[in-house]
Amino acid sequence: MTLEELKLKLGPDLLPWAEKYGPTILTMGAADLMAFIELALKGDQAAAYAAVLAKMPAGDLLAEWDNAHADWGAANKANALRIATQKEALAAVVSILLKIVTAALGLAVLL
Amino acid sequence: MRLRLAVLMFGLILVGAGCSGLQARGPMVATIDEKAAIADVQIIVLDKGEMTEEQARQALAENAATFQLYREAKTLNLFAYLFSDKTILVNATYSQLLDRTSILAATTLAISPSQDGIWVKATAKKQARVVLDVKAAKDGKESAP
Repeated sequence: MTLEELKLKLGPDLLPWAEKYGPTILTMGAADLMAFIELALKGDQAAAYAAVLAKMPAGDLLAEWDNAHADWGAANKANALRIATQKEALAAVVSILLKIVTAALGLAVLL
Repeated sequence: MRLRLAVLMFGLILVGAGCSGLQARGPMVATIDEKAAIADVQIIVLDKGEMTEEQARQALAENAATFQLYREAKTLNLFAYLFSDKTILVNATYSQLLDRTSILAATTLAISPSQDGIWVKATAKKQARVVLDVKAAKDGKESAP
């Protein structure tokens, strides 16, 4: 099977994944594919991923580091955004509490 | 009762606010920072073409050990983080990323002896960026491009 034939069998959401991992998967023999399926169904994701990486050509393995960096980048962007949102929410709460405390102390006129 | 509830809620907000999805404690904080500082230097040296093939191969071995260390130190469990030898607290996303990166580094190291110097140096640079990604995660910052 060619990569193009494989892509025809997949939905559009899987096409980027097929581009990345399809060439390697297509080079794997039946025994390797069965071993991968077994590991994946067992829930041993780490071993399943390692099984595919072990069959990856050196050039694709190099590209996999770019994929990893991109995924770390996406996670870090979401993480930074979540932290910023949390800080804003906390600042809003503290601001309200500050108004109440200063009002209680008769300092509201200063704010 | 209401006051206690308000204090509790406020405390929870304080605890949760500004916490990264990847946190480290104790010596692991310094370790992540030190590994990132080394990665910074490696990228500069590689860009200048001043790293030898032998040094790049050494970098691959050290990076594989670093990612393995991070993987073994991580936990999703707050109590394990606070009361065991686990020194990195992660959410599910970072847990998977640390697993994946460690496996990738080990596989890369395993095939590296059969690869030439150009491949080894290119890989060392790409790995160094991911070492920096881990520090960015700990610091709650975005990754460098």
